[in-house]
Amino acid sequence: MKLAHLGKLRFKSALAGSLFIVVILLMACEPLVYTFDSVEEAVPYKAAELSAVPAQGDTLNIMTWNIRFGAGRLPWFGDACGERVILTREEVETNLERVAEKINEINPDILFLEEVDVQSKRTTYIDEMQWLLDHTHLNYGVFGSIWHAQYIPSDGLGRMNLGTAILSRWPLLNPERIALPLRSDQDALTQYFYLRRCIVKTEVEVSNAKRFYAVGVHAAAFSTDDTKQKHIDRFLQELIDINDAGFDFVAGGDLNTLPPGSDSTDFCMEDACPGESFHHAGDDPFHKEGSDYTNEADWLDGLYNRFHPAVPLFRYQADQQHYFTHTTNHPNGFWNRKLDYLFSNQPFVAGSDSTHQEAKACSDHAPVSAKWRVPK
Amino acid sequence: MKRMIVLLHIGFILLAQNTLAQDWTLAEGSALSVSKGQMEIGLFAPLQYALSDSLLLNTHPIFFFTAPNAKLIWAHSEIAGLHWATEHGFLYPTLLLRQLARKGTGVFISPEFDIPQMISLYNGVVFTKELNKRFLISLVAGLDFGFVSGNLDARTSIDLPYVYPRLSPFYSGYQLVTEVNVNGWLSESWNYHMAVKGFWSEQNALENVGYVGWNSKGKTQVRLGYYLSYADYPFGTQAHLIVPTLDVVWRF
Repeated sequence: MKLAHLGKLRFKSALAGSLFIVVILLMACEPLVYTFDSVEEAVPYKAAELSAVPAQGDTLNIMTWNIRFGAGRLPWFGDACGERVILTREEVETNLERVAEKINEINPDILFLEEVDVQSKRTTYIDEMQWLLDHTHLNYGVFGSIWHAQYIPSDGLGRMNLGTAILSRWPLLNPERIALPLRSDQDALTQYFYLRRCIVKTEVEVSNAKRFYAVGVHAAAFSTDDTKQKHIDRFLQELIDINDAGFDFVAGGDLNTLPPGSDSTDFCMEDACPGESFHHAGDDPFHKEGSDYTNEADWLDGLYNRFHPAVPLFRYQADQQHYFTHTTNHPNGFWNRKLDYLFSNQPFVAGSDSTHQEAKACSDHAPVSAKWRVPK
Repeated sequence: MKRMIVLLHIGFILLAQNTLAQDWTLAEGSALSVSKGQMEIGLFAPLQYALSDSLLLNTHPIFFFTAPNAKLIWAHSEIAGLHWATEHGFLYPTLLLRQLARKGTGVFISPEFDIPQMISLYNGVVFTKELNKRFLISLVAGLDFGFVSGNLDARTSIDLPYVYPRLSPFYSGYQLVTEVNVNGWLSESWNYHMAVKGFWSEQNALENVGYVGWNSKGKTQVRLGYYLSYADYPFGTQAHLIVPTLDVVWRF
């Protein structure tokens, strides 16, 4: 038998094997990919041992951080031109230890987290929510999945449960997972296996204080249509609704877009992987997905105009590099854009904000924190 | 659903108490002897071919070119009304796993891993008792040893029902396999099969499969059934129920 013919037979046989597995899973009662109601309960978490809580909290430290699922600055294939897919347990635990150390150092009372893996194969099935609660001073958490499947049949990713979370010293009540629109620039099969992003919203019960809301989000990163704008608008609407109902809130997350007035808005060349070409005649796509923010200049206007940012816009515009929170240049590249935000309908303590750019080894995002007075 | 499956089990066993003699040709998972030249093949069911009156070859042809596999079932002389056979098989999955370890969609193993040469060798014994003319019960016990040349990274595992337990010997080195098979006839055209299969090593799995078969002139069989799995995976223990399962088997 000719080798080429044998190769074709092997390919067909492998394809048949793959189809066989997929057919089995599609017929299973448990869904291959988890879908969500428009609003449903977020998953509550609690630390194995509760840490002591201040008797009275006048001022809270609020923090947001995209922790890149505990991958640190490893060259992961999906976002860093890398070859890595499935990390080792040692790698994940080392990165989580760095993240936990930084959280304990910054000492937040409320922590918004993005890209938290819970039993995903790529991070050796570590429940990172529970791990972080058990290795920090934070006691309670709520988790909303944004990518939950028994199997992602791509690049060996396998089982996946990635989510957006809120962690707190104090009890979190009535946690909700609010579904965001799916990307509409993908074919049906890709969309089926792709992320289903959400807002996570919960009430926070602080001793001797009025209850308030915490709202976290991780907006679309790579959409080439208006999906990201819809996510930001839905997030804004949720905050307006809370405000109009007479409640206070803190909100945070990775909005995957730049503040108004940013000097650089196109990062295609900075983000290009070896062999990729953009901005030349005939390049398809002309821009790298997720790297060109030029048409998004006013997408955050609503948030900045209606609410209080932890980093006021005039301060950002005066010294942009000081507030950058993200880079795709691994393993040691410095931050080159701001994507991570904190907002509230009550002012943050003036000058209390920090963009922790020293936390370079922990993630491809830097944490942002600021102090906030608790409503009485 | 679990209650329905239990009721079906009981119902089939009660129905099987009639005494109409039936054909046990290639009864699944049994130690009964066969007639040379008999053959059956299904969409999903393996190819079975009687090499002689006492030797049956069993292989999954859809995987043949990437995961060569075969099992010989050798029927021995009856002892005290008990049929018995020995089973001897192998699985060479290296080529299939290498095909599944690529970049892109539709693959199941990260391309960052090298898949070494590996083969598993299985040996087992089957005992079958014909309780009456319409009801057979078989017990199977076997040992599956996996041999790997080089380092097989544990992260290459495919953590899915059906697949994970069958590749387990390559990660743990061995696996004890136990099985209880029941075959029966409900009428001249309708038969059934049920099996409970256990995979025992560092991580364990239990599978319960069953089907009702409709037979057309002894040549074609349409099987409607279910597959229930309760298994350990690297992320924990999980149950899967797949229902309905459908297969068509042709006999020659």
